[in-house]
Amino acid sequence: MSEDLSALKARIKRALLEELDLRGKTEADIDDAAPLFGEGLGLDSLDALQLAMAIEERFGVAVPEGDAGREVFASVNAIAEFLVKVAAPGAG
Amino acid sequence: MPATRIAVSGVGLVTALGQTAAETFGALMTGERGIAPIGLFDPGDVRSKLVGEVRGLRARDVASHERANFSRTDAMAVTAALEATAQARLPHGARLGVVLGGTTGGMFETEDLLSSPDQLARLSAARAAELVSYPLSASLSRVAEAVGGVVRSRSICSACSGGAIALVQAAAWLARGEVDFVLAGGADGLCRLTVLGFNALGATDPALCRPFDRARAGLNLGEGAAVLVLEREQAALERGADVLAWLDGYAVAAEAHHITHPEPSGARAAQLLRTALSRASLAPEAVGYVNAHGTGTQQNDAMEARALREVLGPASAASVSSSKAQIGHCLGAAGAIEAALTVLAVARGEVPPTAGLTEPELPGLRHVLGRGRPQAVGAALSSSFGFGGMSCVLAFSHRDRPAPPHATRTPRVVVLAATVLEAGDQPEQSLDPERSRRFDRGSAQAAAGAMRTLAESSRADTGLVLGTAFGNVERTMAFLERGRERGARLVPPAEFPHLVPSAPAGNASVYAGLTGPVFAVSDLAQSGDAAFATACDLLEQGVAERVVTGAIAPRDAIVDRVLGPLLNAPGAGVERGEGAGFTRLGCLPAREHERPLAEVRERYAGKLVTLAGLPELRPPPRADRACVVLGAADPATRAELSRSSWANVAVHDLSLEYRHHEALGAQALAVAAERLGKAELEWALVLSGADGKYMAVLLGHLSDQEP
Repeated sequence: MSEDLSALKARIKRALLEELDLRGKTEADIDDAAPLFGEGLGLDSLDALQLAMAIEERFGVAVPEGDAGREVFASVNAIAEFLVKVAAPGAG
Repeated sequence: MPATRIAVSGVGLVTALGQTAAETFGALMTGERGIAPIGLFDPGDVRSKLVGEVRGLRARDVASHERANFSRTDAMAVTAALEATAQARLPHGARLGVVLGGTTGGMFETEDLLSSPDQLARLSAARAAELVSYPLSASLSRVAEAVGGVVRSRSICSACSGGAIALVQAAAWLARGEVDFVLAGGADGLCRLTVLGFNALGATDPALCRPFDRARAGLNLGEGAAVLVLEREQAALERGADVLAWLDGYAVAAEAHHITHPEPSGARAAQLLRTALSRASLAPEAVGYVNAHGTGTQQNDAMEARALREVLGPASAASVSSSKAQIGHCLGAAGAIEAALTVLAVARGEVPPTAGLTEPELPGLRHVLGRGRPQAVGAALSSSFGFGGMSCVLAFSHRDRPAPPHATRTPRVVVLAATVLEAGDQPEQSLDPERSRRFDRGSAQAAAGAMRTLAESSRADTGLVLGTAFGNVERTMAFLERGRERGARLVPPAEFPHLVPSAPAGNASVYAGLTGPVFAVSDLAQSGDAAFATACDLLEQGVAERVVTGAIAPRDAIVDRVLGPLLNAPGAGVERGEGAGFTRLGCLPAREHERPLAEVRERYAGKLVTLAGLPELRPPPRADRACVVLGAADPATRAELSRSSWANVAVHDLSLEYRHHEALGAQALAVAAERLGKAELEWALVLSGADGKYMAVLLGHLSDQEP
């Protein structure tokens, strides 16, 4: 992946804001390391499904279901890490 | 009011297992599964193509005449209704009610007509007008045409429990003596919307579903219809009807938990089961069979098994099964289909199995595995749990069971609060942005309206009966277009729960914390009037203590363009507006801090009668202190009014004040209650009329002297 990590995280945050209808929130309100679900942003499993769909659409990567998926959605950092790892071999 | 016991004297069923009750129940007992790859349409790249499809059903064969645009849902409803009425041998000239639960109506046919949002502009006028044939309430008029004699009709949507709640409405009509018989049930046809939606939620099992099994992985969708004939005990005995079972108890409530997930502990479900048993005066040990909701999803079945184990107790001999592994989850029809199957189990002394269940997850329930078995059943429960936590449990007992004691109170119903949302209102602004982040205008109207009428009052036991004519057609079409353009994997899962017509009711109940009965009522221009009547019924029957009722009419480009002028305008060129109206109703005595605005004195509904002929509509004691408040009203309504005993009373015509829309009736009720509360009036006749069908409510000032 050629774009740098902070640009990737910004794209992830934009996806979060747009797909999850986080009205009144901005990218600055989302902490890279903060948990997205439960506490933190207060997202639920319906949001997780929406986010998985959005990541597949925007980044062309299918997020695994179940526990592995839950780990990916732990935080913005975790999503970025997952995307970098999956996209590493030649994808862009 | 005398105690009224409700008899079931006819059953009609259309499912993937057969198009009569006998075919379906017979196949169910053998463990046969009606689940197969879908043939109705190409569902695209979905995880499961397995559904319980009704095959060989041609809407055209059932349609009353060639040009009637019967949807598949209509055809199933009419087929089931004709079977049920034939079995019950209804006497000629009887006054009938029809009440049906559903979620999709003619969605399958609408999907064909509107395969893209901009296709609307390209439709011919005749094809566009065809869309009017497909709202949720359409099946009511199809059934009414087919059976004749229908004087009451109502369409109920509460996602997956509507078909069960229909029976509660039926019991109320019978108790009030409004009708002699009710055809109560539900009908829901498969469509792309539900197949894509449940796929996006990851809720479907790619294999045959396995309710209550440790290895369960989701549900299989189904379709079908059921209609039950209900009547008063006395009438059934007098005419020598074959009573199949008694509907002795029921309970309706909401969880106020989440728009798709059930409350995981099962505590709310357990409470609902107990309420239904208590209303039926049944001990848990008396239950011989439970037809469970049992969808096959992780969350529902775990929650439900816990609730059943807790309520039935460890020593329970009750057989438990879910029929969904054989007929699929029939959504708005499921509650009615499963009620019909429960009645047949009681009547025949046979309990059907849960197909596909080999290793129950929770010990302590007597699941019926493999095939059905003979078993005398004295009493049985059928439970339905819908999206948004909208739930209903029905309790049936064997024809030989003596009548249980019945409460006979008839409470006085009063309006405790009222509010009108006008076209310029921005209901979103009064809501917490985080908790309302997925709300559309309709949900925002419902939540804001409910909150305004609630103020400081208790919400725990308050219900919500919401009139909504169409659902969000625009949002639904956008969702379907995504599916067509991007494929099934890329439709937005979080959108789907908001597309069922009851979503605004569910959203508002979760937002406001309402745990009484929650559901939507759909009756085109009279949706608000119908919701008010049903809310009063729930209070009078003791199903709820406090109910917020009202109607929403949000802007919707497709509804405005096609349906609005056709349905609401007395002449051409009248645009559809938007708005909402709400009242909060309760029973006397008023609680601390409650200040009733008005009392509900009389309720009338009629078809093809002149207002002058409405029963008991006497002129107001003082014409100068009275007012007619008109909601939905066409020129014929005004002409009728001028011939009635209220001809010389001032008229407050809301359609002149607000634009035409389906919530006008609810707004009229709210305006009348507010004016009575301010002592501007002593009497108000709130009247809505459409197509020669009138609904009227007489509101009076609160008087302690009068009964």
